[in-house]
Amino acid sequence: MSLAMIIMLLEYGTKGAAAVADIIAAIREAMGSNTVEGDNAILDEDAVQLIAAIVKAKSDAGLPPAEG
Amino acid sequence: MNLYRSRHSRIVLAALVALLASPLTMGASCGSARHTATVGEHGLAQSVLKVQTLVGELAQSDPLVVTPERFKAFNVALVPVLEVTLQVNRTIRAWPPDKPAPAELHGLVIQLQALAKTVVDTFPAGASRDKIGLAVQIAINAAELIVNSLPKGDL
Repeated sequence: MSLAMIIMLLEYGTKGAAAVADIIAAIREAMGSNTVEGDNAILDEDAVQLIAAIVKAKSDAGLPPAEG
Repeated sequence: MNLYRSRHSRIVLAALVALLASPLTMGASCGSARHTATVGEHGLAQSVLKVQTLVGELAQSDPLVVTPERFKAFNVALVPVLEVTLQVNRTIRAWPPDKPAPAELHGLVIQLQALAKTVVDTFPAGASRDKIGLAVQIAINAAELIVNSLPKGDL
């Protein structure tokens, strides 16, 4: 565990730090797949998640679901 | 908006930026700009998705702060952030590895940074806003790293 993570645990509590740890772990994992195919797989998976998130956010906001 | 309200928050953010920036800067010098931009996009996308999850959880655990009205306002603000993040994703995906960086990438990231700050502004100051602000700040930093990873001649 890095110093930054220890500070976060102290400052924000387990829940907030866990959220940050997830993001950092995802970034570090992406750093390891240094091929065009690996990068494209990451980008494709992100796109799927982002589209699903847009649908949910529009629903929660009461906006029309159609994507522009 | 001030995401750096406390001394400890500044220390945490400085440590986090150092943690994220050093390996990514190394990646920029050792690998391709497209790969480094992909890593930045991944950090950006995962941070924005985490903000959505976090606010959903806070709506349950802290309903006095994340009221139904604020939850709706947050989602109204989040939609353009997600849509521009998707544009960044698609722009990097369409970038041929042996070609210069797409010209529109820089503008999309600048647009995203301004939009991301509006997400935090939907909540009042307090612990919940600090948690949301931290995740948004990571998203902004990741977006900056996309721009910083690009060769100067590509901007």
